[in-house]
Amino acid sequence: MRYHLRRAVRPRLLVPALLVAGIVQLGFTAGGTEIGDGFGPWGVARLYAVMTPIVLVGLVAVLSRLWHDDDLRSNWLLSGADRPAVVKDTYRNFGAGFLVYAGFVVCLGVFAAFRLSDTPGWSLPLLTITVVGPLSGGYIVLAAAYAVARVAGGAAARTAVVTILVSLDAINQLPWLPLSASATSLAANRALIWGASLKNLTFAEVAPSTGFVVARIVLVVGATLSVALVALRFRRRLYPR
Amino acid sequence: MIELSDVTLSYGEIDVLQGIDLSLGADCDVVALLGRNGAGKSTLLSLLAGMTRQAAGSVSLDGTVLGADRSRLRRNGTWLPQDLRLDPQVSALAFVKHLLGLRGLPADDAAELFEFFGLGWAVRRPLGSMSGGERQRVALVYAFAADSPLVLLDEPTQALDPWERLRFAELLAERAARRTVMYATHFIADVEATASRVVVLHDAGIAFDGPVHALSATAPDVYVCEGDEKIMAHIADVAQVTGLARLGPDRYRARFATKCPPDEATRVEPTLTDAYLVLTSGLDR
Repeated sequence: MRYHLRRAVRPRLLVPALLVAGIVQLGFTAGGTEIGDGFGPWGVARLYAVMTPIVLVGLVAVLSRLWHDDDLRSNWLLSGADRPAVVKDTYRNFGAGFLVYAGFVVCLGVFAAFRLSDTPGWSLPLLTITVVGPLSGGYIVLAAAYAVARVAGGAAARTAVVTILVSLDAINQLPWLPLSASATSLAANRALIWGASLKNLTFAEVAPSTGFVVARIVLVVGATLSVALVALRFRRRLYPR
Repeated sequence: MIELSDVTLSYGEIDVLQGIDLSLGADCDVVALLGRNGAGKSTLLSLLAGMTRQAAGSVSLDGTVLGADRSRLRRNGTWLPQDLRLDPQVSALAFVKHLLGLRGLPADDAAELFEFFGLGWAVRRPLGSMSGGERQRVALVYAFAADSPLVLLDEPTQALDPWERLRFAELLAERAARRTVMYATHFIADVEATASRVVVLHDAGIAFDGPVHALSATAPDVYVCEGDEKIMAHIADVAQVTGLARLGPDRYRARFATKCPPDEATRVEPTLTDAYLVLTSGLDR
């Protein structure tokens, strides 16, 4: 994993940049955005709903070097990598990119935590919203894009998958909400996946619906398997038979 | 031990290798692989490395004929192709460790090998900040750190300066005691210093396979002669020219192999280069 994380130099640099930008944009304009003065569950929801698509679309472009097929292929050929090694390295390669994204999400969460420090009982619900929301959603979107790009053979396919999914999420037109990157969009709130709309909830009342969580888990498992399947497909074509 | 028996390999309608019989790895030695551009050197190395498959004939490893699966061959050897693709962002050490990790091998020898190749100062430096020769040496560190019974190197010295080539020769002398190293090269002068055996590919087949001194012994009579352009043209018609130098205006010195030398030619001791050029010229003069 460390090898692949080293290769993600530029994407990693964007994490502190986002933190600074977030502080400037949101920290100094409190009350001036739709997040408002009362930065409760609704503030967290809007923060994630607005920022997650931006982060994903921005990140997928700079991840193309890390996730470049030719680099992986070259190392696998040089090492004569067998099947388990190819699958493991594929996960490490994907995981390095996802960890950079997770770094962004943690930055957003840290910012939210600063804004919430005066609110009682915020920590566990914030963690729940973050994990069920942008963390798992981003994983699903990125893994789907990673797998499609491997099959379609290009960074353009990866960018297209991410752009389509997060755009539909941003405009509240996703055909199936478990695919939502943030899970805090207006559509998600209307579908009451957090028990009620986060606008009307206190942190103590935040409880994601079982159906949504199960669907999310199924998608995470499916996305993980799809990465393994494309690794095996890629490996089959690595050495001529 | 790898044995190729009557192996043929084609790209489309072109037979790159045809009727190849080759045995490798019975003794720990250094084998130089020579041949003109496009003679099939890289193809033969990738076949031995398990990266490609023959169209006909058989490949055996330690007495077992291999089927479609070449994973045993890949584990048996370490292969460095000619066109290495190294990520410029990672450090030399991280790169070598990663490749060894993909093979499930420890990186115990890596530090010592970096020192041996004069790269002790560069282990933490990104590959992108290194020269072509330094990157080539990093790849050689990996090839020898993998400690496999067979090392297959495709033109490993092409980016190395004479000092680095000397260091490469030293390494081969030291490390080949424990394994077989086969390397493709166009530096014929280096072959005499580094290899104990030489394989020459020509016309899709093996034109020579044997000790280096035996290849030298195949050299025909070699002569040198000075003269003008007219004499040089005559020599080119009746002999295989193996060297030509311009001495001045319309004055040249030719080195050539022939059975019928001109009167003014002086006989000289043939070199390995002479023998190789005559062998792969396809001419009988």
